[in-house]
Amino acid sequence: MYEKEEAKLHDMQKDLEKISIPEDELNQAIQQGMQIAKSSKRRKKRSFKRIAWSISIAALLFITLVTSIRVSPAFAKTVASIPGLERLVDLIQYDKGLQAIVDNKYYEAIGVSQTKDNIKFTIDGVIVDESGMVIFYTTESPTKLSSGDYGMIEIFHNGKSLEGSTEYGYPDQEDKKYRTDEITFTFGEQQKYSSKEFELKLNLRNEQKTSFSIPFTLKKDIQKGKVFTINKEIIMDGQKIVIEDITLYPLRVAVNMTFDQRNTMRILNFEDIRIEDEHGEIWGSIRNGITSFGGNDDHQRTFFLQSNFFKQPKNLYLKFDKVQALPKKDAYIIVDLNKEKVIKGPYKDKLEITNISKLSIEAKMEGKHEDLPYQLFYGLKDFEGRELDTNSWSGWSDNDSVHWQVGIEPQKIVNPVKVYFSAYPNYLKGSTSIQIK
Amino acid sequence: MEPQELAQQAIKEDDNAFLAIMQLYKNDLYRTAYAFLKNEHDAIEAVQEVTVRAYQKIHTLKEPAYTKTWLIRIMMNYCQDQIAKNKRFTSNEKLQEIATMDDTSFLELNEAMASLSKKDQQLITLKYLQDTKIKDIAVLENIPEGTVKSRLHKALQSLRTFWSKGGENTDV
Repeated sequence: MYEKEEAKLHDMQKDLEKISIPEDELNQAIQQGMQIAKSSKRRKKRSFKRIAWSISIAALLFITLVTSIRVSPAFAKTVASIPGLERLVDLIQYDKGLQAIVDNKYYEAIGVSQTKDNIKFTIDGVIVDESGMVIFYTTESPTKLSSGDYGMIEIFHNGKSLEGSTEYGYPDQEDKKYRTDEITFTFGEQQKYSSKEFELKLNLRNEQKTSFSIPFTLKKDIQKGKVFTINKEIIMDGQKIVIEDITLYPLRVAVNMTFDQRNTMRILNFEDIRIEDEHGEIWGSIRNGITSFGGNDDHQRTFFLQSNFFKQPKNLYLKFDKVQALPKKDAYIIVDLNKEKVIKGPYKDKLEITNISKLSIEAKMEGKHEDLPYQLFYGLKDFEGRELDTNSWSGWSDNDSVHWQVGIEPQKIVNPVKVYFSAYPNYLKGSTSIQIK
Repeated sequence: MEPQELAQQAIKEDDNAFLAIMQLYKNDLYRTAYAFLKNEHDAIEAVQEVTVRAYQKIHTLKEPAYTKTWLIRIMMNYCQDQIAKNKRFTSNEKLQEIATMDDTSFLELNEAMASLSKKDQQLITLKYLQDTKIKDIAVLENIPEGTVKSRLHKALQSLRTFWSKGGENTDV
């Protein structure tokens, strides 16, 4: 019936078979592909979605990898009796604010489930405040569960999706039919809730794209943020920084700052930003999640610290000494992704660019650098100023060095590309202490 | 090991088995990529990207018997996304590149393929370039064999229409 068309197709197949196979390049492509896949799968992976509000805002992740868990047996016993709460044990080692949440019984057990496509999703418990939310959940299935990856995760309140960034892990659990983990939301702005009713909507990245939509209602009152207006200008190493306000929430403390446009240095990471009370007790940066919000170019940043919300200190101070910064013209490297070449290297060569391809950039630094974030590069811009889409960020360390990798989405790119730093071991001189109350 | 056993091992996240599977099908993957993207460089890159995706998704492969078709489908999806992304830039440059190949059937077919819907492109590629059995396509797509056949007929009809409109004079 379609002999002629089929004959043509057959000819095309023959032509295709005639093309030579670049054996070496293909083997290399497969090897590299496996490496890329593995490095982004290597450890508990954090995935986070960009915030969708106003101007483009980048979230900065800082994950400290701690292998040992130190929790007192008595504490472990308390938490084991409340569903979902046992997982907080893992998290508390990173964040003393969470310990206070447990001590003050601010965690709320929920226990609402929905079953779809033979997969049961249960919200075990939640922590909700005006800055964000942590949802502890369990998924169960009679057959093996696919990876813990989600197409979409949203929290609805009053018919509106709460905008913010979401993080979740890919726990490497032995039993593939059962998975427990938590999803952390960090909202773009303070939420004023009109009720205690919420709905979690998400879909799995499995074949059926199974989607869940689970309403839940809180019994406890949602604690309101305590705002301290500061509006204080400080000068550190000639750079002007304005501390605008500080808000205490149960899950985190948010510090809003602006950097003067005329500064000669681009301010990156605040390595030891902390609040201190009159007894010298210290609450530092969030260690296992979003540490700050702020765009690539804009001069406003919000830093997140561990919370002392449940304490009633007489006095409170904001302190920082180690502020990472780079001269504005050295705040990025320039690479050619096509030619796989570095055009302008990192400031004072403290970092080594180990690999460049169209799909990824890898770098390493000798020594241990626990104070550098999981995401060393902040944003990529091509020659035409387009911000490039990235699909993975990873960091890992071996015996003698720390490595970072950023995965780049296949897209139209005009080389060369500027790659900005989110952190760099170069510091402003001086130290700062401001009284909050 | 048989391909099917290899696939079974690969699903269990055995790296060596996964590598063996990729070695086994790399030529088919490359040729498929070439058919869509029409140049060596992009086709090699496509193989790398498909390796990444396959490695991350291998646990979702339900039937080891269909590993090859599963991989080809990932490849086709990737290529079609790439083409959509680069649509603005596929002007004459690409056409010239193909024209340097001495066989005009390739060029002619490419134009005709581009006129098909994404679904039909995939169907034609599976059936005629990869010799996939209609039965296998039916299982993979989870539709009856009759539906696959009628879809194929429709796709072939589209090709015929395309050729009768424009390509006839170069054909004779």
